[in-house]
Amino acid sequence: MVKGLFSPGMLPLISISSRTTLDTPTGSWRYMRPLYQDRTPPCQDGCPAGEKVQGYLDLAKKRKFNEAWRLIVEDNPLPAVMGRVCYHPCESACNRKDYDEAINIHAVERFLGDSALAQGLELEPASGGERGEHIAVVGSGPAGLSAAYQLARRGYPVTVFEALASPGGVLRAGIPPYRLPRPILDREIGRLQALGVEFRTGIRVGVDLRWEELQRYQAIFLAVGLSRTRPFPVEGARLKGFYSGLEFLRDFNQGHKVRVGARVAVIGGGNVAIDVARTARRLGAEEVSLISLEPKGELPAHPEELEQARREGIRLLDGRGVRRIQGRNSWVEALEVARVDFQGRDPVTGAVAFTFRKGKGMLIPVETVIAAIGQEADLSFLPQEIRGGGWLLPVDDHGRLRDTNIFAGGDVVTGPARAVDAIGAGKRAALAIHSYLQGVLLEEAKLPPVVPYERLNLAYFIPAKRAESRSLPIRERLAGFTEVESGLSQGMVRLEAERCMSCGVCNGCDNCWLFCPDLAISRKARERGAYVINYDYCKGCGICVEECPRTAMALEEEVQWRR
Amino acid sequence: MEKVILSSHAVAYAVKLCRAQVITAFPITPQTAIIEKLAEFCATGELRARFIKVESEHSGMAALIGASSAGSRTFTATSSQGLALMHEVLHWAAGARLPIVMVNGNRALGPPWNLGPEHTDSLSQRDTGWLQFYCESGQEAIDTVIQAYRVAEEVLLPVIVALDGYYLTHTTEPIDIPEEAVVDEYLPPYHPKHKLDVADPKAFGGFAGPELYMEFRYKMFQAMEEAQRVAAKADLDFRRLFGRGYGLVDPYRLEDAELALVAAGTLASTAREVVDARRGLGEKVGLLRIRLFRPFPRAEVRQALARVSKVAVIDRAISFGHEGIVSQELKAALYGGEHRPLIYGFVAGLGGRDVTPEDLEEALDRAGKEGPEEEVLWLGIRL
Ligand SMILES: Cc1cc2nc3c(=O)[nH]c(=O)nc-3n(C[C@H](O)[C@H](O)[C@H](O)COP(=O)(O)OP(=O)(O)OC[C@H]3O[C@@H](n4cnc5c(N)ncnc54)[C@H](O)[C@@H]3O)c2cc1C
Ligand code: SF4
Ligand code: SF4
Ligand code: SF4
Repeated sequence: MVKGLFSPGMLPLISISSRTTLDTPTGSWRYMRPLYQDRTPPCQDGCPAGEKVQGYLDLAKKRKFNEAWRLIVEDNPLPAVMGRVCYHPCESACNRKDYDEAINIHAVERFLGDSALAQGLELEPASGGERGEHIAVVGSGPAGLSAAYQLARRGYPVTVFEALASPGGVLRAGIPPYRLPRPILDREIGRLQALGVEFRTGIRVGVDLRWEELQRYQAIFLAVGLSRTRPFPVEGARLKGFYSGLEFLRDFNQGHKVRVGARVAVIGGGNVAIDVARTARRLGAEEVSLISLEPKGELPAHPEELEQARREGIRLLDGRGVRRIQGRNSWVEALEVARVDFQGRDPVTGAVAFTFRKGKGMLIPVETVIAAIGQEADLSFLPQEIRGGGWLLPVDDHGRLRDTNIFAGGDVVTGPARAVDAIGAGKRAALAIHSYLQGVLLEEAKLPPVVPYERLNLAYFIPAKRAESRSLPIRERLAGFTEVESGLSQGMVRLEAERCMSCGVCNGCDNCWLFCPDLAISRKARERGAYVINYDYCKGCGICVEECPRTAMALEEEVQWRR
Repeated sequence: MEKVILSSHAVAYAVKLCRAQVITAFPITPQTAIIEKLAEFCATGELRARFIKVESEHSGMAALIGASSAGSRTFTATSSQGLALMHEVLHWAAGARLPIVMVNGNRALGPPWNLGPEHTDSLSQRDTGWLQFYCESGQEAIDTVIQAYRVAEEVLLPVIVALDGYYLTHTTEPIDIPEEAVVDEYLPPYHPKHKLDVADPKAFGGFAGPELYMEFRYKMFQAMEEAQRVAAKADLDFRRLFGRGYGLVDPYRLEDAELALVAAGTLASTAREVVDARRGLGEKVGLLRIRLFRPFPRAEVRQALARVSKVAVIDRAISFGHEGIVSQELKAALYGGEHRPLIYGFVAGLGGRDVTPEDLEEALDRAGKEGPEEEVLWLGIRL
């Protein structure tokens, strides 16, 4: 044995460093660098209004309901309304649907909206002070309301002109109250008034107010939607007992008397047709048939709406067209329908192509026929040079009509779309108008890439059932116009928010901090933005990035060797 | 306090009395009753330990390595394939000088799939640097676990306490459960010199090149040598406090014996009966039970067999390509001594096959002949 190499006590029992590990800057080994880098959650990307869904779910999870609501109203001033009527494209985009079921985002939004109403929370102006330029908004549907709000909170005086007696557009004149109770709509619009938006209702521009008079405004936003019914090109459309769907709903929703017979046929396969059919059922019709050109599965109506209609006893006659309406003594008596081959629908104009099949049709005895076959814009109030020759208003990328101070958005630009598209259009138009008035190009912040499902680390999630709101029993529904969906309780909302995987956005789960084998990550708090990587010790192993359940971290090459 | 309990539960009582702080658990027959009982103790608060359910035995041992490095007293139990899965980290635990105590419910390895008792699982972990005790009774199991912590924490090496599956783990007997206060006196709290400490961050298990590695290993070797003395002392101290002791090896009627049976585990109980029966016939036979297998108590073994001319080793294990494992150890130990009796190496009871008194009678008869018929002698083979 070699003696004396180690003096007694010099060699420890185990291979342990004699000094602190901080003496070894393992960061010098690194050639890949981890960093905190949020991505865009698909829900936010899927929401045309750009609501920061992940953000408010996270706040709701922590019971910060008011803060969550404040986050929503940055992008949408009507959470209680949209939480009810929106067809929630965010949920179709939600990553969680590939795991078990999508997050019930709209139900959380509705809860937050209702809770803010219950507490009387008000909208607040953004910082920036008062501005002098006055803006006119024509039309008070979701597009108009959204633009008015975004402009008002930036300090602009805004006046909204609305042809009907009360503001809201389709939200008021179209959507029936069993889906959107009017007090909710009134109070969310009331909040815009409180913010300073001026509403001048009962004024149809072009009739009650000359177009030229709008020229004294520094900018105009046209959000007049699609207010005219497309004529129904079938024999018998002049008989008594025949209505157009839009007018039928508009009359009913404005409190005018509308009557339906015991047997009602509704023509059309879209959401409007379903609203009409469900309204007719509540008005006492015993047999309601929905006649759609499209075969089952291709109907443009939202599947949830179709399902509710089915449960309310509405009969679907799909793949069929109406040949004629038969009358007696100038009243509707029956409808002749026959099978068709459906060839398609123009997404913008709504024009349909189909041919009747050979053979005899069938005669359905009815007292009332309501056609909901589409709407079109009424642009007659605009001078020819502004409106152009088309169905809709032609605008550039910023929603502006070429070389004017006139902007447009919502259905009048896109053709029939969804309320949330209109909210988004209003928000973007407000930004464009603001840029135009300030003479600078202000663009929406460009979002980082979206996190696809495949980029989540699924080891960290556990299956959990989606919380569903309860819906009214059929008997009670048909007795009146009580709201069908009851919404989620606070407890359910929190559970639902807990299901959110926070795709692409750090939510302070601590994984990176826990896993770093070099203790190179420290944290000031368990929350986004509170984690710090000490690059003197980070050796670039990438474990933190790999173990981040949600891809809120990235690994970048330390030196770009190849250019 | 005397209780009629399963030996498995006796082990759990021992762990509780030793105040283990971190326990990892992965179920495997036949040890599961041990961790179940411990889970119960933890759930009721009788034992204030962190009970970690792990996803594999490898993780279970790895977690104990962490916990023990941080200065905790730790425990786990396993068996057979589970122990085999731990193999890599067994080396680590010993090299890191962590006094982890683990009970192994001895069980045959598959295939063919089998749940019966056999010693090959733990004996084949011979060279990992763990101490190994083999118990004969439930009483010995509870006492040995307590002794194991004393020895482990003094020499800083981990210990396996082996219990024959079923024959011991699933047998109920009256067991004296030691008094808590006396166990506290016997086993002081564990305070290691080096431990993971966030206030004093140090690197553990770092690299040691050829110029250093051998010295660390030499220290382990020395610790194992030292362990013989420490284990003997721990047993003596135990006897002083509790009135019971077992020795490193356990000789029975060997004083004037000419032929000795050698065995480990529960087989020794059967052997004792056979020895008595043969003694009744005037034959000078005796028994040596191996209790401590690692470190191998060479001196005690040599001394105990100093007067016999023949030894019949009954191995409940086999090293393929050579012979029974205890038999090899015995030969190696005796070769270094002055007295070298003739050794008959029997392999018996694999996969839990019962080793009956008749089998042992046969072994004694065959050992009575002039030299072994074969290098390796199988008992009870039915081909
Ligand atoms: C019956 C029905 C139900 C629907 N249900 C849903 C739903 O549940 N979810 C969903 O997402 N989408 C739904 N939609 C679609 C959605 O409502 C529209 O996409 C959305 O309302 C378009 O908003 P907008 O602001 O562009 O226009 P609108 O909401 O149509 O508002 C335009 C407003 O401008 C007014 N106006 C028109 N011309 C003038 C003028 N010259 N002067 C002054 N005012 C004028 C109109 O009176 C109207 O109030 C539904 C549509 C209908 C018809
Ligand atoms: S799981 Fe959460 S963050 Fe991810 S898409 Fe769904 S709602 Fe958005
Ligand atoms: S886990 Fe730690 S060492 Fe590894 S890349 Fe991340 S910060 Fe760096
Ligand atoms: S691992 Fe967790 S704490 Fe770390 S970045 Fe990802 S989400 Fe945030």
